[in-house]
Amino acid sequence: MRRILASLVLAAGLVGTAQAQSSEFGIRGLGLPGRGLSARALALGGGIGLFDGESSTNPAAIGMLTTTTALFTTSGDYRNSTTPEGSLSNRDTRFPQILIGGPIPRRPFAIAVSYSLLTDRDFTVVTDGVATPRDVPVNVHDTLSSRGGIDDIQLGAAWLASSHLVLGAGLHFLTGSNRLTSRRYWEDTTYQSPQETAELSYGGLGVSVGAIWQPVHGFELAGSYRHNGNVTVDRDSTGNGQVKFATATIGIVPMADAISGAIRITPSPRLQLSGSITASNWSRADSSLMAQGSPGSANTVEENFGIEIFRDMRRPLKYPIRLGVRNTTLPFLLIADGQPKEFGVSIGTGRRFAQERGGFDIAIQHVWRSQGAAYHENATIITFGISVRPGGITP
Amino acid sequence: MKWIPVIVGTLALLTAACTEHFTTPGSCPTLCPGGQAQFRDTVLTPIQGADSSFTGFVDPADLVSTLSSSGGVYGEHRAVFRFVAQGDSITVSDTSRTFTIDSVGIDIGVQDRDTTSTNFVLEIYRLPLTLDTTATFAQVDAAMTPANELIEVPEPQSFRTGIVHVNFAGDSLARVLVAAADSGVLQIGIRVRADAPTGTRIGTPASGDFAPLLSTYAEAIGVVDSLKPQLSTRIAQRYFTVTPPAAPIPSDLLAVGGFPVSRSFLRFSLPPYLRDSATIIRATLVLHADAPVVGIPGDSATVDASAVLVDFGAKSPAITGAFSAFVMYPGDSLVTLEVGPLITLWQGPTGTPPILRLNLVEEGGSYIFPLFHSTRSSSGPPTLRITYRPPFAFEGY
Repeated sequence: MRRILASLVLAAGLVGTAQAQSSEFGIRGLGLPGRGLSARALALGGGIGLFDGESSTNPAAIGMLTTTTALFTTSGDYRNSTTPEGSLSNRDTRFPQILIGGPIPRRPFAIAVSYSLLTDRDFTVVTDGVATPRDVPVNVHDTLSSRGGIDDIQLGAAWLASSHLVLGAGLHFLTGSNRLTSRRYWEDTTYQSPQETAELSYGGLGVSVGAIWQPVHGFELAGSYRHNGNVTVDRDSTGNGQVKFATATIGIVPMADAISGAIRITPSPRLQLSGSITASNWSRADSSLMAQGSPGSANTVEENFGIEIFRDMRRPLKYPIRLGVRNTTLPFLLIADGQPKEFGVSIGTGRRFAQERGGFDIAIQHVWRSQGAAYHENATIITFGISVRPGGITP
Repeated sequence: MKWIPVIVGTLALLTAACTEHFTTPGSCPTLCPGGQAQFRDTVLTPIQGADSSFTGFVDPADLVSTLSSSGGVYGEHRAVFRFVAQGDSITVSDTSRTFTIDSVGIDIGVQDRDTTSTNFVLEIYRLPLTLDTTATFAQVDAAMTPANELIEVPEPQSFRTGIVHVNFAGDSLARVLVAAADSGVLQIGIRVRADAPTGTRIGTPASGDFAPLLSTYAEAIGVVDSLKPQLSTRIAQRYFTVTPPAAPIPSDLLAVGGFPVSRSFLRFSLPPYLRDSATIIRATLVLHADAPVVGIPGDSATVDASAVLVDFGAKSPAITGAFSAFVMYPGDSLVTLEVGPLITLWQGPTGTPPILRLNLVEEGGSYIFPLFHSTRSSSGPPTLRITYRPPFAFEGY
């Protein structure tokens, strides 16, 4: 009982402000791509994501949920960003992955609904300069803020075709909005500093299919394919002075398809290795984004690898050691020359308690992002996941 | 392994306690989706011929100051005050009692005067009650005879502003007494003189501390000695300034202030790009006076530009609180008013009429009387310089 209370105290500490990840690499294009992974999968570098029922990267993995499960994650991001204008430390909090799912009793099916970030456009950019509106120099300070991004709401189902094969399919609703604010502050106060606001909303659909196959004991393969349609971008409202414009479609952006493959090897009961690779054709969006002023987008390849070491074989989910490494390219260019990339390492652990009715996982990632020599940042991301399984241990 | 929960708990708190701090140092154009904000300038003039002046505003009861002057650049003005009636009894110990008057005091609040003129004298006259706000300057001035003069108050050269107190007792008391049976109302007129033409502003009850007061020191009859001295203070119930008929305002000029009071209206045509889609960040109204304004040296008057709620011509009501002010001093001929917040009221489908109303804050109470060039003038019409920002390209990625 004491342990349950201690765990609840930890969970209570998670109540915070709902915001999303911000990064200088989320300013251009549609934002910084989200990952749709549980805290456990993040600790493993994402390598296990295609096998993880609490992640949203493979609908077949929903079949891995052995009991009804609710998952909630929160993430804190401590970051140092560098641009040609200087460096700045910033931080934010987000809720990157929420999932509810589980098996259908007496049927070889499992279903889940999940929320995850597809792209994230939280940022505030501040620039200083001198303007000469009436041939008189005036110091000015511009602020452009964005909050929001594109969310991915997945309705997924998995079919346990056999004891060695799980197939899955998912329907993805791409939704969300950006609340944008532009403000210029004039040091000469005879100039007013009104702010201009707009809200962009996104809407689109996607589908995904996936499979998990265990040809032999201790060796599993997984694969998924996701097709996203176009995302329609509407400008819901724009405030200029006292004028509001009617909603209008301002762009249609083709979203990337993604194909993923993964392998999981369990060479011993104490050790599990996982790795995955994902390719996305974000170049589909290039021309559309460039037409809207972006430097463009490029295809991405993401490689993930993780090791999970179980310290206590009687209770393997009591503080296992998780290690991961990740290397990827990022889709949305800051400048036309080159492509941004990200490299990260991670560590984590977790605990199940109350006969596995409750649990938490934690992942600490450190990532390095860069494009060219001028734009780079490093971030420490702490992700905490809470899971609840009302049914507890299942056979 | 007992340290593991401690580490996990600490990390969880770090995650939850994270304070948002999004700001990134900007590096345009790379980190400026939508591009950099553009700012533009345009200059508008009122619709040709649609700028006009109207005269006859302001009731005498709304005056903050009355004027009294002796010609020259000030013109001729006389100030008139009618005090509240003196009753035939006073109340002592909850009982109305008859009384005898011991003395009478009159306070006159001089708000400002021209100290460049020497031998300044304030002449106070008792005026017949037949002279009211319909009286002409000639009628009032004709009543200011030696026989009606209550007192002359010379002031030293250094006197610029303050309360002039005069007292009437003994032989002089009869000159200010008005029997209750004869209305009990005292009306006085004020004229000034000096070695050269001079002018002064005299406060009204609306001016607060400079309000004229008539104080009566009386003794109630039939009470113990300790209750005998009584004081009643009366304010001016009516007050106005009379001046010779003013010359007509030239049709090509816009009058603001003066006596009788004038206001001007400027009508603009706001282009659609400003009305519908621009963010106005500064708007400056520039007015050129036909000649440098005159007034008491060092005195000032405030020109207000206001937005109007609806166009009812001369009676267009101003929007409360929506105004911009510019302080004018004698010798000024250029007025610049920052009217950005007023112009934004013109924007949108439910915007207010694109009209600016010009008035003097000290209406009827200042010698400063600008006559501005209009669109009918040969030069220097009013101009409205607007600095604005076109819509920001939020849809830019």
